[in-house]
Parts: sequence; structure tokens; C-alpha cells
Amino acid sequence: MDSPDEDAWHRVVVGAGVAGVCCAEELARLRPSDRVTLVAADDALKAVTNVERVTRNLETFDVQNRPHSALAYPNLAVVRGVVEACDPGESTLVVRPFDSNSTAANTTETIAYDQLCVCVGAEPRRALDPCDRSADPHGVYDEAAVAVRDTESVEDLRERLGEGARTVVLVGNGGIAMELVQALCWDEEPGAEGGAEGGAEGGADDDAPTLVWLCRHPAIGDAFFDRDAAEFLADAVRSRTTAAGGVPSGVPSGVPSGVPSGVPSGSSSTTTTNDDDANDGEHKRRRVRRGTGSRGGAAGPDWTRRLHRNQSSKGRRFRLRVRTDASLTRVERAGPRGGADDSNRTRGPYVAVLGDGERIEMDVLVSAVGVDPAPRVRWLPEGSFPRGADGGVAVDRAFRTMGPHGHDVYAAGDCASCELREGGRSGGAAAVPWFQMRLWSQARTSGTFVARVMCGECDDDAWGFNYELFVHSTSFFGARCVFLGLYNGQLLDDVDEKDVTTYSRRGDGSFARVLLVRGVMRGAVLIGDVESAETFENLILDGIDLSRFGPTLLDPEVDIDDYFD
Amino acid sequence: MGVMDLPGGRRTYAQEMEFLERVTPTQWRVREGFVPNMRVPGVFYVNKHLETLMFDELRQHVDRGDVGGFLPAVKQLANVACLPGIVSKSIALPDVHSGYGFAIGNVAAFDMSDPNAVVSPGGVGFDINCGVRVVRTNLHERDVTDIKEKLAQSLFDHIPVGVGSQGIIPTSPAGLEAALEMGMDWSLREGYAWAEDKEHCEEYGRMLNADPNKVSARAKKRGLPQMGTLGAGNHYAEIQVVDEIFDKHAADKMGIERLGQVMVMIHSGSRGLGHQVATDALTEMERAMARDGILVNDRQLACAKISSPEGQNYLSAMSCAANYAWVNRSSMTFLCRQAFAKMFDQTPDDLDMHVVYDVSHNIAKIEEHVVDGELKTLLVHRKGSTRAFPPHHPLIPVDYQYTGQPVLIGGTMGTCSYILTGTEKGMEETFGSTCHGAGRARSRNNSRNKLDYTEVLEKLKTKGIAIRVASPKLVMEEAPESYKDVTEVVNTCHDAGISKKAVKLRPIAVVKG
Repeated sequence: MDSPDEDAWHRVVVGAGVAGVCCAEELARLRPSDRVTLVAADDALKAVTNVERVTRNLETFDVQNRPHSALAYPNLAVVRGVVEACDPGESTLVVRPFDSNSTAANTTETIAYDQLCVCVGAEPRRALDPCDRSADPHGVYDEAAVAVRDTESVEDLRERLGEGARTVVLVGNGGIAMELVQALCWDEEPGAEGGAEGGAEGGADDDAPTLVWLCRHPAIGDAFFDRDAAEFLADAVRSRTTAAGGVPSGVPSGVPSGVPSGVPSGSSSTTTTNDDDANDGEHKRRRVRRGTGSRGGAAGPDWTRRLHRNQSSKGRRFRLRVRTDASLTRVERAGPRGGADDSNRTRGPYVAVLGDGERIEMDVLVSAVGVDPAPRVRWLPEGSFPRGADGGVAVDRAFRTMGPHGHDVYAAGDCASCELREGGRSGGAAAVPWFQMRLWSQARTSGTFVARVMCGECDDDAWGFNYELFVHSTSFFGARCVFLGLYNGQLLDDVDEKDVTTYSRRGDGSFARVLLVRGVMRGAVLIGDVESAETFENLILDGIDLSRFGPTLLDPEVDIDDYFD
Repeated sequence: MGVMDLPGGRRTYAQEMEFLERVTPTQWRVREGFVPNMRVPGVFYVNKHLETLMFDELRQHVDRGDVGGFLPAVKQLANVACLPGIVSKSIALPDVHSGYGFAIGNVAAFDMSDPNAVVSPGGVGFDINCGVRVVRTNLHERDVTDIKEKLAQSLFDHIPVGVGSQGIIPTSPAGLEAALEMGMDWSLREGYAWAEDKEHCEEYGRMLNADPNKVSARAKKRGLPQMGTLGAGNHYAEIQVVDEIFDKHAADKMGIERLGQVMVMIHSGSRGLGHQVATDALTEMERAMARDGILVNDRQLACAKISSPEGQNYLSAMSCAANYAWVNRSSMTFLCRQAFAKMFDQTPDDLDMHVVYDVSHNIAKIEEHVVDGELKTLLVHRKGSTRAFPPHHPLIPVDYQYTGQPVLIGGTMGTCSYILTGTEKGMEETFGSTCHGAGRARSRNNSRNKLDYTEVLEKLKTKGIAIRVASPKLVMEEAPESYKDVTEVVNTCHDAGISKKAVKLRPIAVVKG
């Protein structure tokens, strides 16, 4: 299929993040004689690699950046540029191309499509309201803050930390925030950690930089964990770092803890490492644009690795201080301050002012407070493409847009708003245990699923099985975490609380909790030992009555996997 | 009135034990009356060590009262003996342990000529046609020692991983329907299997009464993304080497010629599709039981008359799930052959990568057996039990006519595995059945976990809704060591004469689903 013929369909995918690349590749694979064009703002694409199955619907995977040339389909072309407008009546896009130096051209191009799939992702939110001048009296927010979300911002953060940041304030309590904490404060090599214990004795590493983690909620990891699970995790974090003094004892009570957790990380501290590792890795990438629009793809599950290498070269972990129930109300420029350590600073320091009046001097503010799909899809006329409540492009159960162009315009990944899918057609106790969360895993499945829909290979029902059950797998401080179904009671607001039961088990390095509605399992959280994930997934999908088992469902002496084999 | 009596008319452990009697050093009988309404006795096979585990479990149950939904295996065995149409005895193999309705490791046969005889999905299990396949090679351990990790990794590099996979085994809804109906004939047609693979597979890899129309849309939906996938949990593929040969003649017939020979074992089943087929049938049968007035001791033993629409629907759907499982194992065999061929730069044929055999250990089949001197057609439920037909049986392949059917016993992942052969004695005593593997997939590695049965009201922080939570306190520290080692299990079957040891295999690399 080297030269697609004239009546070949032209399918255009906008956005080269996880969803966009998965969609484009699946389209190219399914229809080898049709043309696929991927419009990419970045010069690197997201590739999903190292897929590891945890259960039948659940998999973990890494996301790698790779060059355009890595797309192995002859019928798939990549256009570097930014979409500025869409005329759904004419089925055309206006694209401003980039040249090889990543500068935007003066002219635009028009691309005609037969089908369009919008996978432009979402913009990181600001930790402070941009309209509130009093929250940023010196106008330093943009200078002080890095919003971690996409590849661009990770690079930016890496650079900022490399400039010798002493205090970093992190705002946010979701997955990204947790990953950042893990990357900065925890040594991924338990061996190295153990070996360094002796050296750490005799007191804190006073030079260790500090990470202050501001969580709006009373417990860490609120996006995923309820209080029990968060407590378990906090304990795990503490025990993993005890040798060096421990991490957040203030969880969930909110008592700040500033004990250093950092220890020199062994070998790399004695080795001179080139700070700029842009040339040493297999993920070589060139910086494209800085500071301005962040049109790049979301950072991907492996983003902390890029930080990590930088960290090791500095030879130390951050010490962690957790502030729960805390909010950021203002960012200011710090007053003049003496001291030689200011000499090598180009920006800052700044001051973060919290809701309770505490002032924290900092070099960098990292904002990981979620994303907003609306800014990325401004070029799609709202009249033709209705938006969901969260500002994303509203889509139906097969990711078709909801307006008059549902037959040829689709949206998937973070920019889509899947309200119709959430909970399925019936709510309450009978709700389908799936809901939207802007996660890599959902980006991946939606990208591929929408491609199949576009090619007529599947519809709402066939192949849509990924939408029968919410599944997510991640890891935090080395502990594998699996979330299944309505694990935190999502979608169950209308259910009588007497009908909801949860059982939990807290063991040596593992935590498990299941949630049942009238004896039927609807959700589960597993941390550490996730062996039973597939069984719980099956039990949730089966919907059989488990009331007779009571808490023995989690009895470690009962092999639940085998019982339901 | 005796001091030993427990409240509520419950029996003491000693009173329970009065119903159990030793028949031989490896066989016990469970007399009628152990549970109400037994139609036939129960029989279980154990050695000295395994019987302790069995009785400890019973003692625990007596001590605890009926807390929790898990009955001891010996009670489950007896409850099955109460089902309508059961023939001769309810049989438990040495690896028996508690399962849904039927214990895992239970064999029960029902008389097809009895209009009241039943079929029960609990007697098959959720993972329908879960089974084991062994593929041989002509390689020696030394050929793979240096590259085994790489080999293990490459084995399943191309396994399709759900929606969005670019698996080399692409499936469509139409393909799934065909696979459900045709089993390994579909694999053969699509080029994933060799014609001779079918010969070395129970039922030639295809249940003929499979009717995809009897499989619910939801089951198909669950099955479609998982075609050709291994599954998680207890499922695995292992690269193994021959560790010991007990029966040279039988080993020769299987193409197993020397110690150190490299083999591949695949343990998988029908995954979500099987689960859904079982769940659908359980729901349907509960309704039919009320209609037909069938009473059982345990609600988990939902069943239907074999001749009823519910019974027939289940058997057709179960056969589809069985076919699906064979397609899965065939797809993985294909991937193994490809991986080995690539790694050693030889064709799978040159590497002699033939299927030694493929067994099902979660299935119900219609078979002929001699019962009290009379030839009968029976529906034999084998759950966590492997068919083990003797030499000269018409249903086993020509290659194994003189040895008896190969029986593949997977150990717990990472422990050793065995190949046994079927015996005449097994045909007479256990409907031609033997054990299926280790007694439990997990040893007491979780023993420090704690559980609590007190319920308190708590709030899920993120939702603010009140829920009942059971959180940590009670420790199950008195729980017995309940892991049943595969070697003990296999030796018991060997000593009891219901199967014969042929080959022992030792894993050198494991691939998990």
C-alpha cells in the first residue's frame, strides 16, 4: 500500500499524545489502503511500550517519546503544526505548520478530512486563579511555577531543579503529585538506600533540599485513596525511609513533618555526571518551545525517570514535608535576602503564602492540580461541538462528538468529556462501574477504541468492554496499586448507606479493600500484593452474591483466586 | 446432654469423625449421614500428611461454627453426594480444597439415563476448561541456560493485550463466534495450530455440542479482547526441564528421551468468558430449581436436570468456553514456537516442538463407565481434577494406547510439575480421574495479615458517604498449614494406583500472564 489510491479515505488525528498516537496507529493498521495524517505540535510522539497485564482489562505500560520516523505504517504521515481552526461543514482544518527549527510558519495550510479525531489533551490548571490579582501581587506566578503535565513541563522542571533549587513547593494531591514526591524523595533502589544507612547516621543531611507538599485534603493521594488506604501508604512511605529519619508522620492528621529523608544516593554522588543528559539517553529529544503554550503531549507514566537522572546527579533526595488540609492563597517575590547562596540564582526566591498564613520561601512552585480540557479545544466551534460540564468535547459512548458532526468527528483522550458513559445507562446501585479519569490508561484505550469505531469495526457494544469496569494500575513509593470499579464508592450517592459494606485487610506490606453493595462486589483497592486483582475484577463483572462470605473474602488463609477458579 | 455437645445440636469434632473411616492407607470413606440427604458415600484420597490437613480444616470448622461462607472440602464433598442422579460416590483427590459449591479436586458422575440427574456449573468451575499443555523440544538445558530470561521474555512479547493490541492473533466478533464453535479446528484453519496438535488433545480440541447462540452477549464481550491471552493469577507458562524419569517406556512414547530436555508448560483457561458463562448458568438454574423442586444443601450447588433447557443450554455454552480455552492454549503454543524458532534460528519442526498432550481440569463430559458391572453413560464433572484414562481406552490417541493417557500436573508456579499416566485402577475407582496440581496456589506467605470481624461505621473520605467497615484486629494465627505440596499429591495418587508417575519436570523460567 505504498500509494493509497484516489478514493482512499483520509483520516486526520490531531494531537500526538498517548490517545492520538494509539488512534493513528490503529487506524493505519486497520485500513492499510486509506491515508492517516497525524498533526503533531511536538516533535516527539508518545509510544506505548512495555505493556504488562495485571488483569484481563488492566495493564500497566510505559510511555516513551520516540521520533516521528518510528511510526511504522507507510500510510501514516505526520504533519508538524498547530491546528488553528476547523470548518466542520467543509470538513477542513486550518493548520499552521512548524518548520524543522520548530518555528511557526507565516502561512497556514488547509487540510481536508473524511474523518477527524481530536486528541489534543488538556491543559494543566494553575494553582492560583489567574484572574485574582491579589493572589499574585508581584506578577511572579508564571515565573515561579512549573505546571507538571506534559513532556515540555517535565523538561522545564528538570532544568529548574538543576539550577540548585533548595525548596520546592508542590501543590496538588493527585497521581502526578504523588509521582513527583516519589521521584524526588524516594530512592528507587532499595539496595542503595540500605547501603547508605550507615552514612546517614549522625544526623540529618542539612544540605538536603526540601519538598513541601501541600495537599488540600486531610490525606495524601486523595484522587485515589480514601483515608484508610492513604494511612497505609503513609506508613509504607515512612518505613521505607525510616533509616534516614522518616517521611510524613503528619498523615493524615496534618501535622507537618520536616524530618529529612534524604541520604546520598551512593555511586552517582562520586561520579561526575553531565547535568545535561539530553544526549545520553535513548529518549533523545530536542526542546521545541519553551514557556509559551504547552501543546505537547501529556508527560506519560515514565516522566519521573527524566527527573530522576537529574536527581541522582545531584546526589541527594529531597526531604519531604507534608502539609495536609493546606491551601495556597498567594505567591510573592521574596524580599531581599543576603547570603552567598543567592548568587547563582537567576529567578526567585519566591514566597508561597498558605491559607493559615504560613509563609514558605521557595525556589520553584510545582503545580499539579489537575487539567482543563477547554483551552486545547478552543478551535473547535462550540456551536457544532457541544462541551461537557468539565469543558471537554462532549462525546457519546463510542466517542462520537455530540453535535451534528458525530458521524465524522470524534474526540478521545483527555480532551473528551465522557459524561454519557459514566455509570452507563442506569445510575445508582446498578451503575456500570466505570467513570472517566484523565489517566494514561484511559487515553490509550479510548484512542484505540475510537479508531475501531471510525473504521466501523466496533460500536458502543462490541469491543467496548474496557468501559464495563474502571481499572487503573500505578505504583507509589514502590508499592503496586490497583484500583477496580467503584473502589471509593463513586456513582453510589443514591444508594442507601446501609447497603454498602467494605472490608479491608492490612498486612505486611499490603493493603486490600473491597466494596460491596448488597453483597455484590462493586470495587476494590489493592496495594502491595495485587495478586488477586484478576479475581476481584471477575467478581465485580460477574455480579454474584458474595454476602455469605463476609470479611472472609479477604481472609489471607483463603485462596480466593482458587476458590473462584 | 453430654458435656461434649455443642449448642444448637451441632456435632463435636469427634462426632463428625465417626462418619469418616479409613479404607486403605490412602483412601477414606465418608458415610451417609455426615451431611443430611446423602445419596451415595464420599471417598477421598490422602496420605498421612494430607489427611492431617483435611481433618484440621474440619476441626477448625467445628470450632468456629459456621462463620464465613467457606465450608471445609470434606463437607463440600458430602454435599455433592446429595445431588440427584449422582452415581456410585463423590470423589475427592489428594489436592482437594474448598471451592465454589464443589470443592476443587472433586469428581462426581451423574447418570444420563436418570431423568432427574443434574448438571451443576459449580462442578466445573468458573474458569471452564482451565487446563495444562506441555510442548516438548529437542533442546537441552545447557542450550538455554544463558538465554532463558531472554527466551521467557520473548515468549509472550506478542500476546494480544486487550483492545488496541496489535496481537498477531487478530480477532473480530465473527472470528470469536467461529472459535467458540470450532475450538482448535479454528486455530488449525487460521494457521495457528498443527494438525497433529489436535491428536494430542482431549476431545481433539473441540467439543462438538458447542453452540455459540447459547453464550450470552456479555460473555462474548468479555471474551473477545482476551483471545489468545494467558490470564493472570494462577496462570502461567513455564520453560521446564526433565528432572526425573520414572517410567522410561511412557516417557519414550511422549518423545521425552533424556534428563535436561527442555519442555514448555502452558497453564490457562477460558478467562472472563468462562466466568460469565458460569455466572449466567448459575442465575438461570436458581430459577429452574424452584420450578423443578430441586433441593440442595448449599445454595452454591445450583444445578439443573441435564435434560432441561437450562441444563442443555449450560452444556452447550460450557462447550463453547472449553473451545475458547483450547484456542487460547493453541495461540500461546503458536507464540512459543515462534519465539523458540526465532531464538534458535530453526523451524519449530526442527526443534521437534510437538504437543505432548493437553488436559482439561475444569470440565464436564459425557463418558461411558462400568458401574457395578453395568456399562452406563455418565456426565462426569471434573473440577480441579484431570481425566486419566488407562491403556487401550478408545478415547486416547494412538501414540498412548500402550502407556495410558498422559496426565499433566502443574505445580504451583515455580515448583516442580509432573507427567503421569492413567491406569485401569483409576478407571474402576475414580471414573478415570486423578489430581490436577498443588492443593493451594499459595502457601502461608500472608500469615501475618490480620483480619477483623467487628464492623464499625466509617466514612470514605473522598465521598463522604457512610459505609460499614471491617478493619484490622482478629488474627487467624491458629489456622493450619494448608498448603498441599504437589509431590505429596502426586505420590498419593501413585500409591493409590489411580495414576502412575512417568516424568518429573523442573521449571527454569516462568512467564506470568
